[in-house]
Amino acid sequence: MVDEKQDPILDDDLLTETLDNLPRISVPGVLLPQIMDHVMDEHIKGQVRSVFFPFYLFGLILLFAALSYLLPSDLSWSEFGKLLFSAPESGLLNHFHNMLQVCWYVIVVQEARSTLVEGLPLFVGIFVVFGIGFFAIRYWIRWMHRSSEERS
Amino acid sequence: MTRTPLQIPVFLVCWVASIAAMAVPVANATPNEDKPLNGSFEMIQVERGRVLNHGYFSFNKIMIIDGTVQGGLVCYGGQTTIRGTVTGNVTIIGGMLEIDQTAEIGGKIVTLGSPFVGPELPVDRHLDIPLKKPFYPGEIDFIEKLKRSVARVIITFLFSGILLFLIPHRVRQTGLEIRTDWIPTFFAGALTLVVFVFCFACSTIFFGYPVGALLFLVFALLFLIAGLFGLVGVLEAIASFVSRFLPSGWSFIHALFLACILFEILSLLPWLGLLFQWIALALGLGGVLLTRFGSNRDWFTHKKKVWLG
Repeated sequence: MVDEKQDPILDDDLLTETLDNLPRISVPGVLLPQIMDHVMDEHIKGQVRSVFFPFYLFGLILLFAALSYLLPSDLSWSEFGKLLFSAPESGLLNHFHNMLQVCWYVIVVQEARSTLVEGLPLFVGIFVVFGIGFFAIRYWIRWMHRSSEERS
Repeated sequence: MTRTPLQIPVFLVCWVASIAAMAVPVANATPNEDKPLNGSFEMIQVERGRVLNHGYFSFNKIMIIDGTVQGGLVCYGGQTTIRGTVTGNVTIIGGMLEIDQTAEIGGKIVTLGSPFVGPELPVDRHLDIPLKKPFYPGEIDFIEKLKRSVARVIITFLFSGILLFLIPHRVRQTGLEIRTDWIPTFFAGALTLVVFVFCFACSTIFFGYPVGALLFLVFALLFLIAGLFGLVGVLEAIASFVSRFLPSGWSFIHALFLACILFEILSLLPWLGLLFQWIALALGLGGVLLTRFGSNRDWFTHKKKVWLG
Protein backbone atom coordinates (compact mmCIF):
# COMPACT_ATOMS: atom_id res chain seq x y z
CA MET A 1 0.00 0.00 0.00
CA VAL A 2 1.31 3.36 -0.96
CA ASP A 3 0.93 6.15 1.48
CA GLU A 4 0.17 9.22 -0.67
CA LYS A 5 1.00 11.59 2.11
CA GLN A 6 4.57 10.35 1.99
CA ASP A 7 4.91 11.29 -1.66
CA PRO A 8 7.20 14.35 -1.60
CA ILE A 9 5.99 15.66 -4.96
CA LEU A 10 2.26 15.39 -4.46
CA ASP A 11 2.35 16.51 -0.90
CA ASP A 12 3.71 19.96 -1.68
CA ASP A 13 2.20 20.44 -5.09
CA LEU A 14 -0.04 23.46 -4.76
CA LEU A 15 -1.16 23.22 -8.34
CA THR A 16 -2.58 19.76 -7.85
CA GLU A 17 -4.38 20.91 -4.76
CA THR A 18 -5.80 23.92 -6.53
CA LEU A 19 -6.94 21.81 -9.44
CA ASP A 20 -8.60 19.35 -7.09
CA ASN A 21 -10.53 22.12 -5.41
CA LEU A 22 -11.81 23.60 -8.65
CA PRO A 23 -15.44 22.90 -9.48
CA ARG A 24 -15.80 20.25 -12.14
CA ILE A 25 -17.54 21.60 -15.25
CA SER A 26 -18.81 19.17 -17.81
CA VAL A 27 -19.03 20.63 -21.28
CA PRO A 28 -21.65 19.13 -23.60
CA GLY A 29 -20.08 17.69 -26.74
CA VAL A 30 -22.34 19.80 -28.92
CA LEU A 31 -20.69 22.97 -27.64
CA LEU A 32 -17.15 21.83 -28.35
CA PRO A 33 -17.02 23.12 -31.98
CA GLN A 34 -18.31 26.52 -30.82
CA ILE A 35 -15.70 26.66 -28.08
CA MET A 36 -12.98 25.64 -30.53
CA ASP A 37 -14.16 28.32 -32.99
CA HIS A 38 -14.08 30.92 -30.24
CA VAL A 39 -10.60 29.83 -29.19
CA MET A 40 -9.38 30.00 -32.80
CA ASP A 41 -10.92 33.46 -33.29
CA GLU A 42 -9.25 34.76 -30.17
CA HIS A 43 -6.00 33.17 -31.32
CA ILE A 44 -6.16 34.95 -34.71
CA LYS A 45 -7.09 38.24 -33.04
CA GLY A 46 -4.14 37.84 -30.72
CA GLN A 47 -1.85 37.28 -33.69
CA VAL A 48 -3.06 40.47 -35.40
CA ARG A 49 -2.49 42.29 -32.09
CA SER A 50 1.01 40.83 -31.85
CA VAL A 51 4.12 42.81 -32.63
CA PHE A 52 4.54 41.30 -36.11
CA PHE A 53 1.57 43.01 -37.78
CA PRO A 54 2.77 46.59 -37.05
CA PHE A 55 6.34 45.41 -37.64
CA TYR A 56 5.67 44.29 -41.20
CA LEU A 57 3.48 47.31 -41.86
CA PHE A 58 6.18 49.62 -40.58
CA GLY A 59 8.75 47.80 -42.72
CA LEU A 60 6.65 48.29 -45.83
CA ILE A 61 6.04 51.95 -45.05
CA LEU A 62 9.77 52.47 -44.50
CA LEU A 63 10.47 50.83 -47.84
CA PHE A 64 7.88 53.05 -49.52
CA ALA A 65 9.40 56.14 -47.87
CA ALA A 66 12.88 55.13 -49.02
CA LEU A 67 11.66 54.63 -52.58
CA SER A 68 9.84 57.97 -52.49
CA TYR A 69 13.06 59.57 -51.34
CA LEU A 70 14.96 57.97 -54.22
CA LEU A 71 12.33 58.96 -56.77
CA PRO A 72 10.42 62.02 -55.56
CA SER A 73 7.11 62.52 -57.29
CA ASP A 74 5.05 65.68 -57.71
CA LEU A 75 1.80 63.68 -57.56
CA SER A 76 -0.60 64.45 -54.72
CA TRP A 77 -1.80 61.59 -52.49
CA SER A 78 -5.20 61.55 -54.17
CA GLU A 79 -3.59 61.40 -57.61
CA PHE A 80 -1.30 58.62 -56.45
CA GLY A 81 -4.30 56.74 -55.03
CA LYS A 82 -6.12 57.07 -58.35
CA LEU A 83 -3.02 55.83 -60.14
CA LEU A 84 -2.92 52.73 -57.95
CA PHE A 85 -6.45 51.89 -59.01
CA SER A 86 -6.06 52.73 -62.65
CA ALA A 87 -2.45 51.87 -63.55
CA PRO A 88 -2.17 49.31 -66.35
CA GLU A 89 -0.26 46.87 -64.16
CA SER A 90 -3.09 46.91 -61.61
CA GLY A 91 -4.93 44.46 -63.85
CA LEU A 92 -8.52 44.04 -62.70
CA LEU A 93 -8.42 47.18 -60.59
CA ASN A 94 -7.82 49.05 -63.82
CA HIS A 95 -11.13 47.70 -65.14
CA PHE A 96 -12.95 48.42 -61.88
CA HIS A 97 -11.68 51.96 -62.07
CA ASN A 98 -14.25 52.72 -64.77
CA MET A 99 -17.05 51.35 -62.58
CA LEU A 100 -15.89 53.46 -59.65
CA GLN A 101 -15.60 56.53 -61.88
CA VAL A 102 -19.25 56.19 -62.95
CA CYS A 103 -20.32 55.80 -59.29
CA TRP A 104 -18.23 58.82 -58.28
CA TYR A 105 -19.68 60.95 -61.08
CA VAL A 106 -23.26 59.97 -60.27
CA ILE A 107 -22.80 60.82 -56.59
CA VAL A 108 -20.69 63.98 -56.87
CA VAL A 109 -22.06 65.84 -59.91
CA GLN A 110 -25.25 67.60 -58.93
CA GLU A 111 -27.07 67.18 -62.24
CA ALA A 112 -26.47 63.44 -62.18
CA ARG A 113 -27.40 63.26 -58.50
CA SER A 114 -30.78 64.78 -59.27
CA THR A 115 -31.54 61.73 -61.45
CA LEU A 116 -30.86 59.53 -58.42
CA VAL A 117 -33.46 61.39 -56.39
CA GLU A 118 -35.84 61.22 -59.33
CA GLY A 119 -35.44 57.45 -59.55
CA LEU A 120 -35.71 56.78 -55.82
CA PRO A 121 -39.48 56.02 -55.67
CA LEU A 122 -39.22 53.47 -58.48
CA PHE A 123 -36.13 51.93 -56.89
CA VAL A 124 -37.88 51.59 -53.53
CA GLY A 125 -40.80 49.94 -55.35
CA ILE A 126 -38.49 47.43 -57.06
CA PHE A 127 -36.69 46.81 -53.75
CA VAL A 128 -39.96 46.12 -51.94
CA VAL A 129 -41.19 43.75 -54.68
CA PHE A 130 -37.91 41.81 -54.69
CA GLY A 131 -37.84 41.82 -50.87
CA ILE A 132 -41.33 40.33 -50.73
CA GLY A 133 -40.28 37.76 -53.34
CA PHE A 134 -37.17 36.84 -51.36
CA PHE A 135 -39.02 36.39 -48.09
CA ALA A 136 -41.80 34.44 -49.80
CA ILE A 137 -39.26 32.01 -51.31
CA ARG A 138 -37.45 31.75 -48.00
CA TYR A 139 -40.69 30.96 -46.16
CA TRP A 140 -41.58 28.37 -48.79
CA ILE A 141 -38.13 26.67 -48.59
CA ARG A 142 -38.26 26.64 -44.78
CA TRP A 143 -41.75 25.16 -44.95
CA MET A 144 -40.45 22.44 -47.29
CA HIS A 145 -37.63 21.64 -44.86
CA ARG A 146 -40.02 21.05 -41.97
CA SER A 147 -41.09 17.53 -41.23
CA SER A 148 -44.66 16.45 -41.85
CA GLU A 149 -45.42 16.41 -38.10
CA GLU A 150 -44.28 19.98 -37.71
CA ARG A 151 -46.36 21.04 -40.70
CA SER A 152 -49.51 19.55 -39.20
CA MET B 1 10.34 21.31 -37.48
CA THR B 2 13.12 22.97 -35.52
CA ARG B 3 14.12 26.56 -35.91
CA THR B 4 17.64 27.28 -37.13
CA PRO B 5 19.51 30.57 -36.74
CA LEU B 6 19.56 30.98 -40.53
CA GLN B 7 15.81 31.13 -40.93
CA ILE B 8 15.32 34.80 -40.08
CA PRO B 9 18.06 36.13 -42.45
CA VAL B 10 16.84 33.78 -45.20
CA PHE B 11 13.32 35.01 -44.67
CA LEU B 12 14.41 38.66 -44.84
CA VAL B 13 16.44 38.02 -48.02
CA CYS B 14 13.41 36.29 -49.61
CA TRP B 15 11.23 39.23 -48.59
CA VAL B 16 13.52 41.84 -50.16
CA ALA B 17 14.00 39.67 -53.29
CA SER B 18 10.27 39.16 -53.70
CA ILE B 19 9.54 42.88 -53.39
CA ALA B 20 12.26 43.59 -55.96
CA ALA B 21 10.70 41.00 -58.27
CA MET B 22 7.45 42.98 -58.24
CA ALA B 23 9.10 45.75 -60.17
CA VAL B 24 9.61 43.64 -63.29
CA PRO B 25 8.34 45.83 -66.13
CA VAL B 26 5.03 44.74 -67.57
CA ALA B 27 5.09 44.25 -71.32
CA ASN B 28 2.70 46.23 -73.53
CA ALA B 29 1.05 47.95 -70.60
CA THR B 30 -0.95 50.51 -72.54
CA PRO B 31 -4.55 49.27 -72.50
CA ASN B 32 -6.06 52.73 -72.28
CA GLU B 33 -5.19 53.81 -75.78
CA ASP B 34 -8.16 54.50 -77.99
CA LYS B 35 -8.75 51.84 -80.57
CA PRO B 36 -9.07 53.46 -83.99
CA LEU B 37 -12.18 52.65 -85.95
CA ASN B 38 -11.25 50.70 -89.05
CA GLY B 39 -12.88 48.62 -91.73
CA SER B 40 -13.41 45.64 -89.42
CA PHE B 41 -16.52 47.26 -87.93
CA GLU B 42 -19.78 46.14 -89.43
CA MET B 43 -21.94 49.00 -90.72
CA ILE B 44 -25.69 49.23 -90.19
CA GLN B 45 -27.64 51.97 -91.89
CA VAL B 46 -31.28 52.95 -91.54
CA GLU B 47 -31.91 54.78 -94.80
CA ARG B 48 -33.93 57.93 -95.18
CA GLY B 49 -37.64 57.16 -95.32
CA ARG B 50 -37.25 53.73 -93.68
CA VAL B 51 -39.06 53.22 -90.36
CA LEU B 52 -37.98 50.64 -87.77
CA ASN B 53 -40.94 49.70 -85.58
CA HIS B 54 -38.71 48.65 -82.67
CA GLY B 55 -35.68 49.79 -80.74
CA TYR B 56 -32.19 48.72 -81.70
CA PHE B 57 -29.22 47.25 -79.82
CA SER B 58 -25.75 47.15 -81.37
CA PHE B 59 -22.34 45.98 -80.19
CA ASN B 60 -19.20 47.46 -81.78
CA LYS B 61 -20.87 48.54 -84.99
CA ILE B 62 -21.04 51.67 -87.09
CA MET B 63 -24.67 52.82 -86.92
CA ILE B 64 -26.01 55.48 -89.25
CA ILE B 65 -29.62 56.52 -88.65
CA ASP B 66 -31.05 58.56 -91.51
CA GLY B 67 -34.58 57.18 -91.18
CA THR B 68 -36.76 56.65 -88.09
CA VAL B 69 -36.29 54.31 -85.13
CA GLN B 70 -39.49 53.95 -83.13
CA GLY B 71 -37.98 53.01 -79.81
CA GLY B 72 -34.70 53.29 -77.96
CA LEU B 73 -31.17 52.93 -79.26
CA VAL B 74 -28.46 51.24 -77.18
CA CYS B 75 -24.92 50.98 -78.59
CA TYR B 76 -21.94 49.36 -76.86
CA GLY B 77 -18.75 50.58 -78.53
CA GLY B 78 -18.56 51.51 -82.21
CA GLN B 79 -19.65 54.77 -83.76
CA THR B 80 -23.21 56.05 -84.00
CA THR B 81 -24.37 58.87 -86.24
CA ILE B 82 -27.96 60.12 -86.00
CA ARG B 83 -29.35 62.33 -88.74
CA GLY B 84 -32.93 61.04 -88.64
CA THR B 85 -35.39 60.41 -85.79
CA VAL B 86 -35.17 58.23 -82.67
CA THR B 87 -38.33 58.30 -80.57
CA GLY B 88 -36.85 56.70 -77.43
CA ASN B 89 -33.65 57.10 -75.38
CA VAL B 90 -30.20 56.99 -76.99
CA THR B 91 -27.61 55.25 -74.79
CA ILE B 92 -24.00 54.99 -75.94
CA ILE B 93 -21.48 53.12 -73.78
CA GLY B 94 -17.79 53.20 -74.63
CA GLY B 95 -18.36 54.34 -78.20
CA MET B 96 -18.76 57.59 -80.13
CA LEU B 97 -21.90 59.58 -80.84
CA GLU B 98 -22.49 62.17 -83.51
CA ILE B 99 -25.82 63.96 -83.70
CA ASP B 100 -26.66 66.13 -86.68
CA GLN B 101 -28.58 69.41 -86.43
CA THR B 102 -31.44 67.78 -88.33
CA ALA B 103 -31.77 64.85 -85.89
CA GLU B 104 -34.78 64.48 -83.63
CA ILE B 105 -34.42 62.58 -80.37
CA GLY B 106 -37.64 61.92 -78.45
CA GLY B 107 -36.05 60.64 -75.23
CA LYS B 108 -32.90 61.27 -73.29
CA ILE B 109 -29.31 60.97 -74.54
CA VAL B 110 -26.85 59.16 -72.28
CA THR B 111 -23.18 58.96 -73.22
CA LEU B 112 -21.05 56.90 -70.86
CA GLY B 113 -17.36 57.23 -71.62
CA SER B 114 -18.22 58.19 -75.19
CA PRO B 115 -17.08 61.33 -77.02
CA PHE B 116 -20.04 63.37 -78.26
CA VAL B 117 -20.28 65.61 -81.30
CA GLY B 118 -23.47 67.58 -81.72
CA PRO B 119 -25.58 70.45 -80.46
CA GLU B 120 -25.34 71.38 -76.80
CA LEU B 121 -28.37 70.14 -74.90
CA PRO B 122 -29.55 70.76 -71.32
CA VAL B 123 -28.61 68.15 -68.70
CA ASP B 124 -32.15 66.79 -68.42
CA ARG B 125 -31.88 65.91 -72.14
CA HIS B 126 -28.25 64.77 -72.28
CA LEU B 127 -26.43 63.01 -69.42
CA ASP B 128 -22.73 62.79 -70.26
CA ILE B 129 -20.60 60.67 -67.91
CA PRO B 130 -16.99 61.02 -69.00
CA LEU B 131 -14.48 58.32 -68.12
CA LYS B 132 -11.19 60.13 -67.71
CA LYS B 133 -8.14 58.24 -68.81
CA PRO B 134 -5.19 59.14 -66.60
CA PHE B 135 -1.92 59.96 -68.27
CA TYR B 136 0.58 57.12 -68.40
CA PRO B 137 4.09 57.63 -69.66
CA GLY B 138 5.18 54.92 -72.08
CA GLU B 139 8.02 53.72 -69.90
CA ILE B 140 7.51 53.65 -66.16
CA ASP B 141 10.62 53.90 -64.06
CA PHE B 142 11.68 50.74 -62.19
CA ILE B 143 11.55 52.46 -58.80
CA GLU B 144 8.15 54.01 -59.58
CA LYS B 145 6.79 50.56 -60.38
CA LEU B 146 8.29 49.16 -57.21
CA LYS B 147 6.80 52.03 -55.22
CA ARG B 148 3.31 51.32 -56.54
CA SER B 149 3.70 47.61 -55.80
CA VAL B 150 4.75 48.34 -52.22
CA ALA B 151 1.78 50.71 -51.82
CA ARG B 152 -0.61 48.01 -53.04
CA VAL B 153 0.91 45.44 -50.66
CA ILE B 154 0.54 47.92 -47.76
CA ILE B 155 -3.14 48.45 -48.56
CA THR B 156 -3.83 44.72 -49.03
CA PHE B 157 -2.00 43.70 -45.86
CA LEU B 158 -3.60 46.43 -43.76
CA PHE B 159 -7.10 45.72 -45.05
CA SER B 160 -6.85 41.94 -44.63
CA GLY B 161 -5.33 42.35 -41.15
CA ILE B 162 -8.14 44.66 -40.04
CA LEU B 163 -10.81 42.33 -41.43
CA LEU B 164 -9.14 39.32 -39.78
CA PHE B 165 -9.19 41.16 -36.47
CA LEU B 166 -12.79 42.31 -36.74
CA ILE B 167 -14.43 39.18 -38.17
CA PRO B 168 -11.91 36.32 -37.86
CA HIS B 169 -14.55 33.60 -37.89
CA ARG B 170 -16.14 34.73 -41.16
CA VAL B 171 -12.80 35.19 -42.92
CA ARG B 172 -11.62 31.75 -41.76
CA GLN B 173 -14.83 30.09 -42.94
CA THR B 174 -14.55 31.72 -46.39
CA GLY B 175 -10.91 30.71 -46.66
CA LEU B 176 -11.77 27.17 -45.57
CA GLU B 177 -14.46 26.91 -48.23
CA ILE B 178 -12.02 28.08 -50.91
CA ARG B 179 -9.29 25.71 -49.72
CA THR B 180 -11.38 22.61 -49.36
CA ASP B 181 -14.03 22.87 -52.09
CA TRP B 182 -12.22 25.02 -54.61
CA ILE B 183 -13.80 23.54 -57.77
CA PRO B 184 -17.47 24.16 -56.81
CA THR B 185 -16.44 27.46 -55.25
CA PHE B 186 -14.79 28.55 -58.49
CA PHE B 187 -17.82 27.66 -60.60
CA ALA B 188 -20.24 29.31 -58.16
CA GLY B 189 -18.04 32.42 -58.22
CA ALA B 190 -17.79 32.44 -62.01
CA LEU B 191 -21.58 32.22 -62.22
CA THR B 192 -21.94 35.09 -59.74
CA LEU B 193 -19.51 37.12 -61.84
CA VAL B 194 -21.60 36.49 -64.96
CA VAL B 195 -24.74 37.57 -63.08
CA PHE B 196 -23.01 40.75 -61.91
CA VAL B 197 -21.81 41.56 -65.43
CA PHE B 198 -25.36 41.02 -66.71
CA CYS B 199 -26.76 43.29 -63.97
CA PHE B 200 -24.22 46.02 -64.80
CA ALA B 201 -25.02 45.78 -68.51
CA CYS B 202 -28.77 46.00 -67.80
CA SER B 203 -28.39 48.96 -65.47
CA THR B 204 -26.30 50.87 -68.03
CA ILE B 205 -29.00 50.22 -70.64
CA PHE B 206 -31.51 51.77 -68.21
CA PHE B 207 -29.33 54.83 -67.58
CA GLY B 208 -31.76 56.78 -69.74
CA TYR B 209 -34.39 56.20 -67.03
CA PRO B 210 -33.89 57.71 -63.57
CA VAL B 211 -33.72 54.30 -61.85
CA GLY B 212 -30.79 53.10 -63.98
CA ALA B 213 -28.09 55.09 -62.17
CA LEU B 214 -29.41 54.02 -58.77
CA LEU B 215 -29.44 50.35 -59.77
CA PHE B 216 -25.88 50.71 -61.06
CA LEU B 217 -24.78 52.21 -57.74
CA VAL B 218 -26.37 49.41 -55.72
CA PHE B 219 -24.86 46.69 -57.90
CA ALA B 220 -21.45 48.37 -57.72
CA LEU B 221 -21.70 48.58 -53.93
CA LEU B 222 -22.67 44.92 -53.62
CA PHE B 223 -19.91 43.89 -56.02
CA LEU B 224 -17.34 45.94 -54.15
CA ILE B 225 -18.28 44.50 -50.74
CA ALA B 226 -18.41 40.92 -52.02
CA GLY B 227 -15.20 41.31 -54.06
CA LEU B 228 -13.17 42.82 -51.23
CA PHE B 229 -14.41 40.29 -48.67
CA GLY B 230 -13.73 37.47 -51.15
CA LEU B 231 -10.22 38.82 -51.76
CA VAL B 232 -9.44 38.55 -48.04
CA GLY B 233 -10.86 35.01 -48.10
CA VAL B 234 -8.51 34.14 -50.97
CA LEU B 235 -5.58 35.69 -49.08
CA GLU B 236 -6.50 33.60 -46.02
CA ALA B 237 -6.53 30.47 -48.20
CA ILE B 238 -3.12 31.35 -49.71
CA ALA B 239 -1.77 32.15 -46.22
CA SER B 240 -2.94 28.77 -44.91
CA PHE B 241 -1.16 27.11 -47.82
CA VAL B 242 2.01 29.17 -47.24
CA SER B 243 1.98 28.45 -43.49
CA ARG B 244 2.65 24.77 -44.22
CA PHE B 245 6.11 25.71 -45.43
CA LEU B 246 6.89 28.02 -42.53
CA PRO B 247 8.60 26.84 -39.33
CA SER B 248 6.12 25.56 -36.73
CA GLY B 249 6.60 28.45 -34.31
CA TRP B 250 5.76 31.15 -36.86
CA SER B 251 2.36 32.72 -36.49
CA PHE B 252 -0.34 33.24 -39.12
CA ILE B 253 0.58 36.90 -39.63
CA HIS B 254 3.88 35.89 -41.27
CA ALA B 255 1.95 33.67 -43.66
CA LEU B 256 -0.56 36.44 -44.37
CA PHE B 257 2.23 38.87 -45.11
CA LEU B 258 3.86 36.41 -47.51
CA ALA B 259 0.46 35.73 -49.10
CA CYS B 260 -0.02 39.46 -49.81
CA ILE B 261 3.41 39.62 -51.46
CA LEU B 262 2.78 36.42 -53.42
CA PHE B 263 -0.57 37.80 -54.61
CA GLU B 264 1.11 40.99 -55.84
CA ILE B 265 3.90 39.09 -57.63
CA LEU B 266 1.46 36.74 -59.36
CA SER B 267 -0.75 39.70 -60.36
CA LEU B 268 2.19 41.42 -62.02
CA LEU B 269 3.02 38.54 -64.35
CA PRO B 270 2.31 39.53 -67.95
CA TRP B 271 -0.97 37.98 -69.21
CA LEU B 272 -0.99 35.32 -66.49
CA GLY B 273 -1.34 38.04 -63.87
CA LEU B 274 -4.73 39.12 -65.19
CA LEU B 275 -5.86 35.50 -65.47
CA PHE B 276 -4.77 34.90 -61.88
CA GLN B 277 -6.74 37.95 -60.74
CA TRP B 278 -9.89 36.75 -62.53
CA ILE B 279 -9.52 33.31 -60.93
CA ALA B 280 -8.96 34.89 -57.52
CA LEU B 281 -12.04 37.08 -57.99
CA ALA B 282 -14.17 34.08 -59.01
CA LEU B 283 -12.91 32.04 -56.03
CA GLY B 284 -13.52 34.95 -53.67
CA LEU B 285 -17.06 35.58 -54.93
CA GLY B 286 -17.76 31.83 -54.78
CA GLY B 287 -16.54 31.67 -51.19
CA VAL B 288 -18.73 34.63 -50.28
CA LEU B 289 -21.78 33.09 -51.97
CA LEU B 290 -21.39 29.56 -50.58
CA THR B 291 -20.66 30.62 -47.01
CA ARG B 292 -23.03 33.62 -47.00
CA PHE B 293 -20.26 36.09 -46.19
CA GLY B 294 -18.50 33.57 -43.98
CA SER B 295 -21.45 32.94 -41.65
CA ASN B 296 -21.60 29.38 -43.07
CA ARG B 297 -25.37 29.42 -43.04
CA ASP B 298 -27.81 28.69 -45.81
CA TRP B 299 -29.14 31.81 -47.57
CA PHE B 300 -32.78 30.76 -47.23
CA THR B 301 -33.10 28.32 -44.34
CA HIS B 302 -30.42 29.90 -42.12
CA LYS B 303 -29.29 26.38 -41.22
CA LYS B 304 -25.68 26.06 -40.20
CA LYS B 305 -23.60 23.95 -42.57
CA VAL B 306 -21.87 21.02 -40.91
CA TRP B 307 -18.72 19.34 -42.14
CA LEU B 308 -19.20 15.61 -42.29
CA GLY B 309 -16.48 13.08 -41.58
